[in-house]
Amino acid sequence: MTDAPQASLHPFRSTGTLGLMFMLAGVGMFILSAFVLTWGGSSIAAAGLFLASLALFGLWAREDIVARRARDGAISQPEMRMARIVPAHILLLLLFVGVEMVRVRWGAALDEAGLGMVLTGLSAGVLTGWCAVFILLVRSADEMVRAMMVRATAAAAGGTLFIAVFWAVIARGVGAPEIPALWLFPLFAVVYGIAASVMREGAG
Amino acid sequence: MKNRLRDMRAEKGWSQAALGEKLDVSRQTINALETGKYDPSLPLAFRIARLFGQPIETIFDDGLGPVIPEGDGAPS
Repeated sequence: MTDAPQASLHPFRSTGTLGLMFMLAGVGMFILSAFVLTWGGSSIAAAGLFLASLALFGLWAREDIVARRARDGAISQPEMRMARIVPAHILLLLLFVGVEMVRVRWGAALDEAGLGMVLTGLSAGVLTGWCAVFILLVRSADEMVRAMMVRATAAAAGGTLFIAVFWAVIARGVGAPEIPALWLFPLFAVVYGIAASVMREGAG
Repeated sequence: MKNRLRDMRAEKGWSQAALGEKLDVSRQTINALETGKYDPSLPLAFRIARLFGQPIETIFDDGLGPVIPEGDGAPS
């Protein structure tokens, strides 16, 4: 059951449609920035797209809270905590991918300039931060959401393992490169996000 | 497990979000409880029972009959 949206807010916002559009646009911009950076496009364009994707994720986080408030009239403390932590979690994942893309593009040049260790430290720091935020997220959630997160984690771990092994079998057959271990983390995070969203929708 | 949470909440005139706030859980959890998709832990079931001032067995029904059958277990 969902309560009726507040009349004062435009349905475009109160139903979360605007938030969803921000999120989809953010994902699109991020993927575009990855393509531009990886395939030798303009660095400025890639950086602009990356920053735009971060801004769009910020707007999505804000609109998500606005839509929840409009729908429910109030947001309980556990929900508010989650609404604040989840965007930080996504941001850290984007930063990790961003840093790794920079390494793909300018890794050799940065190593020559003695900045390779800075990039490595940044990657390790972001990864550690992501794990810390994940633990915070689990601790902040109420019991049902926590159980859902545990199930999503198990599904994501299994899904990631399956994708990596399945791809390795295919890659061996056709001589394509295997998935580098570094990209298993973003892959896991994406599969986790999909699994958690599906479970969340199922729970209403 | 069936429960009377939706009816009891409606009697009080609370929204799902308001009940979630009182129980310190999300609206989503209240919705899952009401639709029978999620069975609460014992601590949450006790919090619900205390909030509505009713015994747990009058709120939740596992379909296996009374917890203490009539005439059994009652002190004489």
